[in-house]
Amino acid sequence: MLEVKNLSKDFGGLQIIRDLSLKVEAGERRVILGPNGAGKTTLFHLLAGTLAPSQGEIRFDGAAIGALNAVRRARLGMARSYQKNNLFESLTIRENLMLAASAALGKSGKLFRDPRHDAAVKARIDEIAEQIALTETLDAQVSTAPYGIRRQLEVGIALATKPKLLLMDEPTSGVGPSMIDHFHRLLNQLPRSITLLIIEHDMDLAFDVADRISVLNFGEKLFEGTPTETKGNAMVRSIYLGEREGGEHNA
Amino acid sequence: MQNVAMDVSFWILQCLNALQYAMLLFLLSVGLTVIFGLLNFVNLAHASLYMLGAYLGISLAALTGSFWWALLIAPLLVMGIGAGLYFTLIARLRTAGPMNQVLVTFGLIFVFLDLVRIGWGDIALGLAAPPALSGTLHFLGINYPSYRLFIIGLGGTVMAGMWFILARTQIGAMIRASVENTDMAAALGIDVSRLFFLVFCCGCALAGLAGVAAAPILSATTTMGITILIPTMIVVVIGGLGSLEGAILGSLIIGFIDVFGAVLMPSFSALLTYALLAAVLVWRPHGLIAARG
Repeated sequence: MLEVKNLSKDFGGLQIIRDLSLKVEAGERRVILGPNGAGKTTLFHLLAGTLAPSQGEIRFDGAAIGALNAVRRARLGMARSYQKNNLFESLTIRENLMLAASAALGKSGKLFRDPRHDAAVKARIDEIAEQIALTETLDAQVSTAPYGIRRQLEVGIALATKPKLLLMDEPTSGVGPSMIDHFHRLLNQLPRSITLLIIEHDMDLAFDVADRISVLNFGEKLFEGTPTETKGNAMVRSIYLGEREGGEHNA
Repeated sequence: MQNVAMDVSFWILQCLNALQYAMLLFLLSVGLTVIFGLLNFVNLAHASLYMLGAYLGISLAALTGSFWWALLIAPLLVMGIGAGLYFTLIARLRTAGPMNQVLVTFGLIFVFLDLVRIGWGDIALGLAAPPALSGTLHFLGINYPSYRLFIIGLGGTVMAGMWFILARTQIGAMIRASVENTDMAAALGIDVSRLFFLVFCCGCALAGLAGVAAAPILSATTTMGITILIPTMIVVVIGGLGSLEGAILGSLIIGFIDVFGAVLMPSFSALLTYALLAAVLVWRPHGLIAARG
């Protein structure tokens, strides 16, 4: 599904990603774990095409995509939900989804129709709303929606294009503890036709959702394995859990 | 008793006058404000399109013998002129910064003014209201010209139509999304530049419509554009740049202040509008109904 070989990225001599290799299977839930500054977000930029790698190869569904720009990669089925809120505040949740869905379905051209009456758009909105558990609040205006709901909606907008791979950058950052549980369930309910690659520094989410975890530190892959293996690994414990338990997980 | 009745009908009359003026302001300001909200572009020549609408309407009425054809075709011609402006100047000026935009569109005002002078001459031209609307209607104890009621109805219809389009259609949601955040809308796959062009053309057509509609009341003069530009800009600033509700509210406020100011305190009426503008700029610099936080 997604294969990264010997990927490197440096900014003016400073190596942010060093010789990184990853292989993610179709339908897999992979969490990229690591302290702040480990290079997780840079890795996402390289995967999504918003940054060009210094070295290395990226293959998506068997095709080399390293030379494609972000829009071309998105068309191949890569979607991304960002670390910051990226929503239309003055519109309702339904309208946000509707714009994304009608653009994804190529129906933006029917300017004077009510897209909510278009069967295909409506079906997609309903499908996404169910996946992100927002069916009840579709008609609320985004500016009045609590933070957790906004994060759910962001995932929904990313889902509108029916992506094969969804890149999520810290989907639970800023979400309260009670919402985090809810969010985990939400991610677990997403269909396996979507492969998830999630950046996290939150251990609980990683252990809850991941099939496999890749641990990054200083741009290198330190470890990769199942959640149980990760928990038991001494090296991971020392660089990550150790710091965390010591109360300072800023690298 | 007689006196009181006369008083009431006097106020009803003034209210209708204010409403009618507000509707003209609305037709002009709504295009200006939505164009600004979407393109971040202040088109001072918007009021020249209003003047062109009036002159073209007068010629078309003479040509076709019918006010209604003029009311229909003149806005379309003005829209065509707007489209021409868009391709030759506006699209290129989009990234040129506000100072260049203001200078160019301010220059356009004088270009259009002289073109109208050359084409139609310097004398004020009148346009007869259509026969069906040339009389007066008697209601609530007053006689009111039916043509002025027609303008109120026309403004109301455009308002309702715009509300419907903005709230209920694909393009409406796209416009609202793009006013709020153009980059994000483009990232979602919305063809923003086509949207800009469509909205710009519709705004121009509404300015032309206002021009034809105003001609039977105000008659067409070469300075009519400049005269209405200032109140229109004030409406847009008071209402909130880019906000449809703001254009409605602003038009009503300025319409009523202008008409009632002239009746109640004639010597201060011009001052009142500017005092309000200053107050709004101090208390709510983004306008009464801000389109963007």
